[in-house]
Amino acid sequence: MGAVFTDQVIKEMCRETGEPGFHNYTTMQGYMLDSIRDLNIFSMPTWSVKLLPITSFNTYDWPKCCVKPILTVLARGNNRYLISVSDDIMNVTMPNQPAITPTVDPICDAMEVTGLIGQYGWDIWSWGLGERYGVETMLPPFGLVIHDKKNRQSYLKGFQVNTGDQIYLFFKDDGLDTCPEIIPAEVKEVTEFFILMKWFRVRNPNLSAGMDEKYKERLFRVQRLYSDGGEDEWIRSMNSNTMSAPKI
Amino acid sequence: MSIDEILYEALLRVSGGVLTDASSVRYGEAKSYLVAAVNYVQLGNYWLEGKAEGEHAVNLMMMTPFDNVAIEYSTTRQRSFAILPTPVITLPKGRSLNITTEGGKTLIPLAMGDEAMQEFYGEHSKQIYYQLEGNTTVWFWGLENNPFLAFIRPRYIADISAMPGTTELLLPANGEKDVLDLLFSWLSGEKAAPKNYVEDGKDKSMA
Repeated sequence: MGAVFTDQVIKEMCRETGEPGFHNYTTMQGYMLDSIRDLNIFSMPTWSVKLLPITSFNTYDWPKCCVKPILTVLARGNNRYLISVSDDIMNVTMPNQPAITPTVDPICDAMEVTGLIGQYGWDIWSWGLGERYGVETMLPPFGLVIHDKKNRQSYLKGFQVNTGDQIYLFFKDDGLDTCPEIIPAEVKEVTEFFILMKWFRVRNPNLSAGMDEKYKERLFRVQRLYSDGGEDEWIRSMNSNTMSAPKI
Repeated sequence: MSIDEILYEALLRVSGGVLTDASSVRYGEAKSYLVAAVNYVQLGNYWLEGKAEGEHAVNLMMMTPFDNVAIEYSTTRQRSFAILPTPVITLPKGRSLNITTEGGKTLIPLAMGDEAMQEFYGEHSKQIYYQLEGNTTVWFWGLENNPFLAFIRPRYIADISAMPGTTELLLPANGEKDVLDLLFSWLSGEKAAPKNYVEDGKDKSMA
């Protein structure tokens, strides 16, 4: 998926509206934020990475702009460990101890999936459903994280949290907390039409109405592209025990 | 043409092709007129430029670059600023001024009211912003993203009143003739200085 810098779009819009010296940059930046906000009401994804503290309850709180956590990475000193996501169906997949030493293989014994691990690696945590999560690796997973959408928290388990540990969270962002640096390339057109619609709203209302029409046309196409059922749809799909995944 | 050259030509024309004592007496007067004439021609040309597209473009060739202008810090306002080497000509929204870093990164101008919006938008952006105060002082926003930046490189349509006589005038292609004609008509008392400048680029007092 391609990405475009929001700054690039803002500057292009400045030039297009007759200010090659960027004298309406701030106005355009406001319109860009409005555009992202409006698109997010529908379905545009943006992404961010944030460094978060771990609470004394082995949890971390989602940032206020987080829509859906994607990757949870433990930052311990100079090391980074990717934490596997628990699908919360079989809550006993990891014993409460570090599983970095491959010689122990407690999971293999417990789950009797040695053959599968040998074949596919350690990224299969919902092996019965035919879906694969996390990063494809032959290393055993470091720990588990369980996302709690309702409380907007995630619970870490399966490893000992040390003093100074932090979490790098890569997540789907609503783009409202901070203006994202990049937006997906396929929404650039929509964004541009939205910005032009706002710009001409008071300067040339007829033109603005035309831009609004074009915005709606393009938005319809983007909505088709991003028809994602959201977290509930994913969970329903996993519980349904079929091979098909919801469309992303 | 340099400032002195154009003044010499104008004074020569007024005295009928012969330099007299009166010519040198009127040098100061001519220089005052020159500032007005040059600024007027530059301003008129700026407005006519790209008018069809509704574009507010400034002719880059009329801009004088100044390298290594130091960024200073005001402890009373707790904000960084820079003093431009010469005054900048007054255009709407400060369009006559263009600032980059020495490396070429463009600084974003803040129009009136934008500095108040920076309180909200500033943290959403890694750009460096500036706002012109008067015609020589520039205040900066967003420098905390670039803490090692020490110099800026402004390019602008400079007000020639503060420039030495050897300075080359940066005028549009037909500008030298216009400036000479204006100077001659003012010095010979033929025509009043243009007034009531209107935005359509047509001056009613000019022929």
